[in-house]
Amino acid sequence: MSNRLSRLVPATAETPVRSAKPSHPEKHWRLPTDWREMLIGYGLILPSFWVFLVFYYGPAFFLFYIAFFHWNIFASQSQFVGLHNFAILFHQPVFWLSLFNTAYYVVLVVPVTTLLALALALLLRESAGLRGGGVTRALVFLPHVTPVVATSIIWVWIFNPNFGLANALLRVLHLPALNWLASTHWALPSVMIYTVWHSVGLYTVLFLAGLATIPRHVLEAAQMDGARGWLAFRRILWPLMGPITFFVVILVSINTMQTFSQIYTLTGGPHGGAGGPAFATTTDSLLIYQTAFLYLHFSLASAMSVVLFGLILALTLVQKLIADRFVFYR
Amino acid sequence: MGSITLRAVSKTFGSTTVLRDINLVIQEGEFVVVVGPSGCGKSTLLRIVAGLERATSGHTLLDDRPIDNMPPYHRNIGMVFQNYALYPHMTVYDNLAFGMSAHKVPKKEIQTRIGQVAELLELQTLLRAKPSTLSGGQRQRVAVGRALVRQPHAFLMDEPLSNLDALLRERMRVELRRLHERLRIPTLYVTHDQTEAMTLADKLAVMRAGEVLQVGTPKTVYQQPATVFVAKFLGSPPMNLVRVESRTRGAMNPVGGAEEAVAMPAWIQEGWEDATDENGTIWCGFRPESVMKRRGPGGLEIPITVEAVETLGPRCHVHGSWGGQPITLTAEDGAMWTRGAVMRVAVPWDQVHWFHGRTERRIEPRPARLETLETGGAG
Amino acid sequence: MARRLAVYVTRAVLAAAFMAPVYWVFVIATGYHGAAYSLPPVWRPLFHFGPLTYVWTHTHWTRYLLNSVIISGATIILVVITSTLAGYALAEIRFPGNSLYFYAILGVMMLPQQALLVPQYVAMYHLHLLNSYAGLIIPFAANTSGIFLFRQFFKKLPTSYREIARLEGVSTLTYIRRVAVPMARPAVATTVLLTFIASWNQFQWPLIMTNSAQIQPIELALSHYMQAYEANWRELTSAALIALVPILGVFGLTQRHIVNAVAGGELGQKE
Repeated sequence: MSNRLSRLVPATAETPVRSAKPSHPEKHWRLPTDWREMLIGYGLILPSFWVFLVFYYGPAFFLFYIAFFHWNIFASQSQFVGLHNFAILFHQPVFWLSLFNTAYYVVLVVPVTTLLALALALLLRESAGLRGGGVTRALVFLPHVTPVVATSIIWVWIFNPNFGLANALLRVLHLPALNWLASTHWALPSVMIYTVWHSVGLYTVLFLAGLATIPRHVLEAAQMDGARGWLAFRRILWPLMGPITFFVVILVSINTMQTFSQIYTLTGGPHGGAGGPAFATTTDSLLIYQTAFLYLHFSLASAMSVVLFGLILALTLVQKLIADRFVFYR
Repeated sequence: MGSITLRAVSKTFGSTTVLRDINLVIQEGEFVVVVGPSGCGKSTLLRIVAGLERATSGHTLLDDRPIDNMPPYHRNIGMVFQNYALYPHMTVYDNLAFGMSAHKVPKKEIQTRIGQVAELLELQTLLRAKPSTLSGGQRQRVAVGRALVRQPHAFLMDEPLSNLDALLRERMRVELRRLHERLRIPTLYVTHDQTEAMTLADKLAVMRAGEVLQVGTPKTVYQQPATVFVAKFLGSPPMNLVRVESRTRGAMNPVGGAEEAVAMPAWIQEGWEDATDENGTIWCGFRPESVMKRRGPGGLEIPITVEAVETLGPRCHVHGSWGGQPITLTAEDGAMWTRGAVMRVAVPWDQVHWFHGRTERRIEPRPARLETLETGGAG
Repeated sequence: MARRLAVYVTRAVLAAAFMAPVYWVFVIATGYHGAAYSLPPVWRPLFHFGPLTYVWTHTHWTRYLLNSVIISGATIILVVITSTLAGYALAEIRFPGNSLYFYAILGVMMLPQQALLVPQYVAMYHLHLLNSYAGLIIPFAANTSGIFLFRQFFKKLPTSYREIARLEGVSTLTYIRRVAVPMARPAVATTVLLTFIASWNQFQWPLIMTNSAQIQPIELALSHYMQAYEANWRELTSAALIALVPILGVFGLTQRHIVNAVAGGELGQKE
């Protein structure tokens, strides 16, 4: 970046003090245009900077403030309570339950999504030369652009124990019908199914992008060497796919840890308050939402947010480190 | 119009020096070509004149007035880039008009000026076209037109012909020269192509590694190259340059060659000690076309072992060696040169170039003493 | 040959499976009364648009739709402007803090949205932006990936364009408006499309930031509707259709561009 800039712009702005030569009659002022250029630069970033500051960085710092105070949005005074909020939090069984649910959810969704996306990408790549490949790709991707609430409606119907599609399918396969969203065992897996359906297309496309960066002749050379099928995948494709796979895994993790909308809509409505039945689908994001905006316990919700923040930040950092080390990076 | 002067201009990026103490004058109406291999700093030089970059030290003067602090626009300089940089989403007309309309020049005035330029460059039929539909030569003319429409004090051209194919390049070269004859706008033209440099220039500046090695008319630079580099850079095939040593007084050999020694002029003999490098050698050079087959009255007489003959229609290139050093010469009749034969050839002394063994600078005979030529002096 | 056939069949089955839920929204919405309760499930649409008309006329969907249009439209315009300006500054202008800002934007990308909701709500409260269009628009008026996209694009433009502009004395803003942005049309298209999808599908933010039916976008209205009309499947799916159709339309027309944009342009030459 700096290389290109240095070619473009007079280097005065960052050139260290030019060796002052008193013998020269002209004064070496910086070009007035440099100052203008700099001001223009600041002017151009100002609109976005302001938004990021007020709505992202500001709140991010403020979060830690609230978490350590006994604090109420409507009252003017607040009181420093140190780790008190966290102490309360750690004594709440529902907090631990939400962490457990989140972990359960993430641990299942991540590998399923990743493997399915990888398989779909390989299939789509396999059929790249055949007609209709683009349409298939678009249809697999389509769920990702659909609004969550709108499609949740039909999925609630699909998961209906009596006349939904899901049980109809099970009946065809001669499997016992399930209670799906109404069952404490199956409610969270139902949400998982929706999530995989809704998001796998995105990761498929990311995998396809990763596959596209693998030069064709590498694979052709492997074929010339007689590596086919599983061997070609394991020895050639997989090592080359490693970075992008890791990238996808982390991305899926970060996104699934923050799932909110589909849990809220799928488990709300006819099945009582969201997060049910019996807290079976209460994950961290849902609990934060409920604590803050239903029970107005902002300090406690902030403490939870801090925990979530830490977990996700750790994941993100790992991802950035990996992404920087490998080529796949945008 | 006016003259442009570069006075002791240097440019460094961090710790790398791109230009070192450049002095160059572009007189009124003069076409100056800066030629050199890629990375020699010639484009940077151009951009400093344009005001796109700032010299680290030294001055740029327009009509003897320093313009170092003047923003590019106020210098009123027209520039043509290698990739033309025509705005792809605008028509040719809008490309020409954009700069003026951004400055609220009246529509009428814009029209008149574009009309004049279009006529001059035969762009009338192209004004409604988008650049993507134009041929390379047409784009090139539009780029020139855009620089011209501002009625600039000076023209700067950064390898403007190098994106064209060989035939077109030749034609556009002639057109550019013709345009210059008509308009006489002082022009600074940068290229790595020696043919362009030789044919276009009123004045040539040869650059290498951030330094101007020689400034002069193409003829002077060709006939009296100031350094080994200049000698090798201009001319095709390039000048033959052989490192010679003197084993016996008054005679010399190619380094390591086993052949008989040949005589050298007295003035070289006299100054020999001052002109050699640590191994006791100096550079002896002659152009392929200076070599004559029959023995002349004096001159450098050498035996050449013929190795290959290339026929190029009217003339041919003979490749051979002298004492193990490769030699090329041009001849009119290839049949006279047989492979494997040893031919005696001669080069008149006034066409033999001598260069210092260590500094690689030109050595000229001077009355009674030997001197090296100063290089890079201002025009 | 058999392998090709297998690929075709697998692909068709997969495509059908992914499409099925969206298809059934249409089947139920336009089916006969009680189609949702039929066993085995219905699978053919009947094109009864009665329920859709009923839903459309008996609730304020025009209002919600309009809200979504206003919010998405304003967000798109602002995002394109802020992304262009910041992207240009990062790519082409040298000023102290240039790379710092670059990393600051990377940092914004790393902030977990769910963990920020509480303090963001507090900020909105103090800025008096709760229950306002502005509150639904301004926080999304700057977009990290939009800025990066434009930055990438501007960096790829040959520097000579900008230099010609400088020689001709064209101001930076004029240059951005008249030259840089027109040449960055693909980036504009990508930003518009992705912002539209993200903005139209907004749910959690309006859920938290508004409680007034006057300004709520369609997704939020749909969620309330869902709770109110629990098992009226025809009405529910008809309402869902209203929210779905604009997205499906846009996606249908531009799917190639969208999928490509998400893939970072890597798929471009594949077809």
